[in-house]
Amino acid sequence: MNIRQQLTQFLSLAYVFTSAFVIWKSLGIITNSHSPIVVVLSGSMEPAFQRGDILFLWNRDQEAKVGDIVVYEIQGRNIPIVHRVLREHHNSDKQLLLTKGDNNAVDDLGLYAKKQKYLNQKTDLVGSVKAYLPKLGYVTILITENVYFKYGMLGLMCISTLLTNE
Amino acid sequence: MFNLVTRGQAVANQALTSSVFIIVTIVAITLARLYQDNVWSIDTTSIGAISPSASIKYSFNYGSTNRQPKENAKIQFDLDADLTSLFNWNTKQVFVYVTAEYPGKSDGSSNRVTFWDKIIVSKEDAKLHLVNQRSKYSVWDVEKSFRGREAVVRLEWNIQPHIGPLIFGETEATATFNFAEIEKKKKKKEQKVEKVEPVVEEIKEEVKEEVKEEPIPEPVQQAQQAQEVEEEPVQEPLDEVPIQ
Repeated sequence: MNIRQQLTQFLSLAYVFTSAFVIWKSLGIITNSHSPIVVVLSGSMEPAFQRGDILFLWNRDQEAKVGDIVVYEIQGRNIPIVHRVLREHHNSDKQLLLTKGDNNAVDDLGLYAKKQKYLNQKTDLVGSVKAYLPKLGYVTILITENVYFKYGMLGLMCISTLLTNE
Repeated sequence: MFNLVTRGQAVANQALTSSVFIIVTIVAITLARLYQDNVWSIDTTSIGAISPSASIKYSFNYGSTNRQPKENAKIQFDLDADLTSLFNWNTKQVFVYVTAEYPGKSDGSSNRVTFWDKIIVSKEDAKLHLVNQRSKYSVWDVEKSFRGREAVVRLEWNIQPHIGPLIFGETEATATFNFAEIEKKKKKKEQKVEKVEPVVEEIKEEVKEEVKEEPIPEPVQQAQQAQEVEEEPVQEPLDEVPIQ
């Protein structure tokens, strides 16, 4: 009896995690982006985007336009960067982009890899920003950067599972 | 059987549903408002008096590779725009930018570059009246030079909301100009200045008191000689631009 109850509890927990995973991955497929929702970590797009804001990305556009806000990754560095497209040059099969943060004084040449002068629209972009939610992403920043918050959350979860067992 | 978890779940569910509902409502009202204000065809704007200029740069930060000369373009322009209708209660900021679009070398190729932009955070600042405004950016092309191509200038905007979708548009004002071509003389001068700079300084120091403002003709002649070799227009096609 007791084992059966615990098993169902374990199952429902697994269900929560798998469904979250499935939703995340299918969002990734729909938007064609490996991380369709990102949290802003830096102030280079202030005052529009501040630390902790949530951005929704879309990566199925054939071309980026000047003025679009895109998230890109530089090879060899894992931190995605959110900046605005300053220039674009394209022919029928390739598009090159130069980006700049609204709050930065100069363009992103210094942020790119050594000798790199443009982003490639097909390979370097994670997506372009379509929608915006303020502040809610601060939870993830707290979890990743604040040890007390992380263990506090863990502790709360443990206590609540203990309470439900009774 | 109301334990902590079920209560928590109920509250979370309720919060999620109602916040989704609220957000959808806000977005719908915002969009309706923008359509009502007809922001996608703002016709109270004008761009004009565009005067382009060009220079040769040798720095990586100005698009040069391996110290090869790279043509950089700037413009001056007049701009009048009333963007107050872009501001409503869900507008956090408006980003306006002046772009120039010009053709590339092959069929189906095109370029669009930003010359000037501005962050506007309040409705009071949304009326732009610029005269002889200098471009904010020194622009270079993927090719070595702009080759005097014709460009179409537009004033475009982006509304960044407090919550919801980013909204893009452009005003109906357009203008055209041809990129300035660097005449040979000008080119020589530029080259020249880089080479003989130390000499110029020396001379200046020597004759500081007597003739302060005298131009130095000598180096120009030298430059003309040195320049002869350097004259082939290299236009690298887009495909060959290295991308790591």
